[in-house]
Amino acid sequence: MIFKQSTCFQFAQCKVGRFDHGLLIRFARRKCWVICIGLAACLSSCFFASTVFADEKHPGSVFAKSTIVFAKIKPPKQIVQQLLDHPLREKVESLPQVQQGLKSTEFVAFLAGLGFVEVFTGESWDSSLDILAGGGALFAFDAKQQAAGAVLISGDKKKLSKVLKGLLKLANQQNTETVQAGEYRDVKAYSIDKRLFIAELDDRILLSSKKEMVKQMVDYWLDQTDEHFALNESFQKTSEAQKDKTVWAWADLKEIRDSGMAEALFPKQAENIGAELLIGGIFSALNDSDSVDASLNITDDNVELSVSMPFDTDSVAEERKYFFGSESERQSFRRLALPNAAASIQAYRDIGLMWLSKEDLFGENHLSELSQADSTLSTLFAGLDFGEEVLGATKPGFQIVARNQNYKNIDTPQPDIKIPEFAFVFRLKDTEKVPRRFKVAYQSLIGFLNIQLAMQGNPQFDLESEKVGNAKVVSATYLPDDDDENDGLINYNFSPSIALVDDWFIISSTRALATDMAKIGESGESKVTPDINTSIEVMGKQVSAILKANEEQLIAQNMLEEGNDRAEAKAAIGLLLNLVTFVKEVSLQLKRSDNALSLNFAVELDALSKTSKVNR
Amino acid sequence: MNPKKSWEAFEPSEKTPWTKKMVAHLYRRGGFGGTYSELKNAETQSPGDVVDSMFATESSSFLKEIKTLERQIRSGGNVSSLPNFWLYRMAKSKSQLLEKTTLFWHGHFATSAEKVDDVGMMLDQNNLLRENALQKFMPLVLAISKDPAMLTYLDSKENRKTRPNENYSRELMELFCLGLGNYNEDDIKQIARAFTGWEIKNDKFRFNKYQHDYGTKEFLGSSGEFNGEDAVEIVLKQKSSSEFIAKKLINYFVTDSPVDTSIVRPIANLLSETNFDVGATIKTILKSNFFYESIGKKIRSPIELGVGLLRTIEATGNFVQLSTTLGELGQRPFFPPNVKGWTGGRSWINSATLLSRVNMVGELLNDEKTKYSHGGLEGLVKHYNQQSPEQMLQFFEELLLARNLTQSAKKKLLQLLTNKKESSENRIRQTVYAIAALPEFQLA
Repeated sequence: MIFKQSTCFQFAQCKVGRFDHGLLIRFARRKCWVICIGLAACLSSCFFASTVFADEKHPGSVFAKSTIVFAKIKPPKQIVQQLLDHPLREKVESLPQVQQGLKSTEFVAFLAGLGFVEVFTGESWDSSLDILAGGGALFAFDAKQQAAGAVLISGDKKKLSKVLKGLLKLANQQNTETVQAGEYRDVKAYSIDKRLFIAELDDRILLSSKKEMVKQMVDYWLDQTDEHFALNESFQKTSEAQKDKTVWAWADLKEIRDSGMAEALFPKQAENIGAELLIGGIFSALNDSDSVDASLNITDDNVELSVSMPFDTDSVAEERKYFFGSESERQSFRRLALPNAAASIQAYRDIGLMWLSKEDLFGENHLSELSQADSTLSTLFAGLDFGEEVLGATKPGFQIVARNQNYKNIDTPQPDIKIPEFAFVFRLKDTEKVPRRFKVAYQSLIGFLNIQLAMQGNPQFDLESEKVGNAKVVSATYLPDDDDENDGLINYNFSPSIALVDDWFIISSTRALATDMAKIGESGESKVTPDINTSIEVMGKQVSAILKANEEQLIAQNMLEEGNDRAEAKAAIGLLLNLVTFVKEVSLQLKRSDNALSLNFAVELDALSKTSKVNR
Repeated sequence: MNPKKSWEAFEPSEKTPWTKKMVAHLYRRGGFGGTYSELKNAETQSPGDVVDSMFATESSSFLKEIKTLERQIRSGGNVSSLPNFWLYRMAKSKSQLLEKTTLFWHGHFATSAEKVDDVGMMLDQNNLLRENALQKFMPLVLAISKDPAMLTYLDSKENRKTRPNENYSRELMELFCLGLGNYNEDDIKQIARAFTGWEIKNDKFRFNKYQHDYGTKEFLGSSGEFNGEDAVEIVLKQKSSSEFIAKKLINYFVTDSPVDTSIVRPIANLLSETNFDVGATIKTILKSNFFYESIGKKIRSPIELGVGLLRTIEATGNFVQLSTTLGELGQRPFFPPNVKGWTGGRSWINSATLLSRVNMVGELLNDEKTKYSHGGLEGLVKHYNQQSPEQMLQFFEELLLARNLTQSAKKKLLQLLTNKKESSENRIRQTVYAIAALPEFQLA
């Protein structure tokens, strides 16, 4: 919501003076927003927001013991205010594309919708929001009722009835029978189109798509039974620590698992090898933990989502030992810190062990693929058993890094599509025999590629071996081609290389990156992070540079996929490039502690960066 | 039917006035359809002048845009982006006749990227076809005979004197220049000898003089130490060649139905007299009485249907998706089904494709990536000041249909246009979709 608060209010005042009924009906028909637009807005806001509880009764006591999912959300007005006051707001608003969007018919219709809310409630839209949910909001799913329910806690009890009535009147504009009013235990109740049921109880509004759920919520609140959800031990244990979060949610995993609901959430096996390698351990945790809690926190320069599960990583099944390892193995896991990396992945995985446990981890269809790969790779490694002798010769843990390429120092023409250079890094148990085997396999691969390239009429690789410090670097660079038609070829992004220094082994897409990684390995500046099982980091500034280098390709893609002409496509890609500069870093970390496994996803904004270019 | 009168230039009269409907026909056949403003503008000019204007060259800014886009497609190296690229060009180009004729030659000299699997070769061939599309036929045949994509497609990358490759010489006569029955097996063998030494090395044509058969060849009534160039010249001197090309041009631009030889003859003569000047021949065809008598006598190809709809309703969309849909309907550019190209005509429609053709229209109208120049179909009719449902219906009839709507169809479409339960935009979209479901919409 990046419009000024006064805009809608002024719009509302203007409409009060000369109310256009036709406009309302047209608006209602077009968007169907009129039907409880205020309530819907609040509800949707609720998903992004947490609660300030001022009542003596625990707010969660409105829900039954059979609640399996619970969420609490900050007052929506605080979130809206946070967005409106955000340092990035001005930058985003000043983008020409956003300026254009603010003039679009969709946005005007949205403003009109807010205007109608203001007309019917007699309050500005933000005041209405505060009156309805200024105390926050709760959301729950009840397994027994098989229904979801929500509670909006008013920020101004005195005006709650007036605003609610205004919204219900608005909902009734198209059809006077849309809203039905009634009472339950002296509590005012309403139904909208028999699809949404509402009760107005003290300073709060209870909502659900099921009438029985609303009745149950009223009963729990009025009767103050000792069987309510807020007494759940697991919930109590985690809820206190999360009270300042924008959104906090809790789920009873055991109950969900045992009830057979959402079976897809609890897979025993991964759908593919990549997924197993990346998140296989999380599957173990999901199938073992009793509960999970998640929180979303939004600040000026950070958006962070955390998911945490109680889990003993040392007691995992044998086939998933490869994912977590023992304490001593984790302590020996190191990574090389590459300056200016655009993206990096580091993960503790004993791939050799995973390969040997493949029969327990994968289904038949994947096993046949793996057997085929095993046989091909064993051939490439001159008959060595790929699982035991090749992967088994590596230490647990790997790292993948990518960075923007510098094409100035290469002899080959610049490719039109600029692919970032990337490297796969791991450590070897044996630094004598194994590296030579790896080197021979690499040479065989380059020889095979050269035959393929020759058949396609493409330039071929020239193999070179050199010593950089103590590191051995073997690289294959393209021979410059006399054929002008090959200028701009995507192949020129690559000079596949391997490097060995100490026990570090580096496989890289370019010679430059292999050399730089080897230098870092030699300097001994490796990092130990035993609690971080998996970490993925993407740096906004570097990604922006990569996208900028490929702007022409992105424009072409946009033209074909969106049908835009060049100027329109350039503007769309320009917007994308601008937006990327607002992101400093995106990270995903899977952390383990003695008794929990947690996943943190964070987007760090470059809100105050002076280097962000607003106008291109 | 009087052949002479048939090919005389159409002169509007009281009985057959020059109307938007006639202009729409010309733009549909000589391109992929015209916008309403183009129809209105052309209605004020003479038919001949409108045809002449269709030969105007493309703007330099558009060519620059296309060149940049082409470079990106080349660097991507993915043949599946080729159809998207060409569809984009077809929809956006002002030189509609050039694109339409390039598509004709693409079907004539059919080469599939599926087999060639080389973006550069396919784009080079496409540019070759475009450069020669409205020029003389013989240089085009000569260039195609040396085209790496064509020779790769026909497994003719090598042609040695000890073992002449007959593939190309067979297709040269059967599919490209003469048609079946106008040559015999000996002619194929002899012409194959003339092409010996013509080979593709490192994706380029080269003449290998060591592999050329310098001996005397006898074919199609001629005898001499002919090479490939001589062979093309001799083939095109055959009387049947001009008739063959004339018939194909008439089928492509005028009618799917078989045309009497007496009607073909004047166009064949024109080709012979002008040394196979394709542009001049097409100009005569598009200006003729016969052309304007053929309104609604052709079945729209999938490309004409898809690109045509986007152009006429002044919209643009997702060409990647359109290319996939066209593939399902049997006409994905750069991917003809076989060496004979697309059969066209009635083969476009069967029980499966008919429904898919209508669905394609629905997809294009409602796809979120479809962007309308005037904000939507409501914006389109408002832009052209079509206010009443009757005016709107006539507007779309002139724009989209070759044949007039029946009274019962009009009545049903008017009901859709006046359905107050729907928003104005939805009413119009449903009407256009309903028009697309009519048999008349399948005709051009």
